[in-house]
Amino acid sequence: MGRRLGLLLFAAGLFLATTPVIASAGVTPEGACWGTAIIKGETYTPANDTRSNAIPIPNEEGVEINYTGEVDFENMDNSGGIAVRIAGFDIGIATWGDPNTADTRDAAGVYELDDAYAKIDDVVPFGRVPGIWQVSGWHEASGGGECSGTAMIKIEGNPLSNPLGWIALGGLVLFGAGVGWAALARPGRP
Amino acid sequence: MRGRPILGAISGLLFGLFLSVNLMLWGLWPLDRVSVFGLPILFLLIGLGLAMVAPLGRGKAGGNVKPGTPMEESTE
Repeated sequence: MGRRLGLLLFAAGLFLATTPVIASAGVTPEGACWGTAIIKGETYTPANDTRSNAIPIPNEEGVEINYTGEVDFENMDNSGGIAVRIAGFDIGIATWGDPNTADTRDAAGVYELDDAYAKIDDVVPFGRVPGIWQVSGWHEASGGGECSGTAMIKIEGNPLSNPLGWIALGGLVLFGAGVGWAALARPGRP
Repeated sequence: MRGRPILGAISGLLFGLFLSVNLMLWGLWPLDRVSVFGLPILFLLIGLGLAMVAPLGRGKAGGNVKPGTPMEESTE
């Protein structure tokens, strides 16, 4: 009985592992918002929304990001924000808003990456954590126009240069050994 | 029930959680619903299943007996 149940659980695990994952990304509604970011000469767009074409964020000082953005709807009294998405939950990073009465539909500028890193190093316990992150953003205006989207970014660097990297690796080895220990047949058990 | 199912379930759950963090750190998979909830549940089931089947260390029933050691006779 126990052996059958064990095999059933093992098969259920394998089924879960091989179930295809459908991910939605990009901008919603399509074409409502558009933007670009130029980092070290490379141009990135909302199409950089998958793991394989994530936007690389250099983990170094003095990086400038040239950005542009535009919307295709009446953009008065607008607001928006950007967040990191973890397990489906958005953790806000920054918001913007402008009670503008003029219908300004585009913007451009230069963002100093050092400003973001200074905030992260101040607030996050382990500082800037290398790895792949999903970020989400939204923008809306008083006329009812709105759009939202996601992108994938990859903060460059060696994970083992951060204490979190060692903790994660240690936990993996420790609990992997735990699974191995649990799978050891106890003597005297049929 | 041959192995240690509670240890298998808890270790599997935490192994899956740490695996998802490692996948994120090494740039392979972000911390999405699949990795944060799916992987721990997956490895919980695998850990529990492995503990119930206990495929490791089998065939050692009596394996600790040194060659040449006389078997105890039944007292019945």
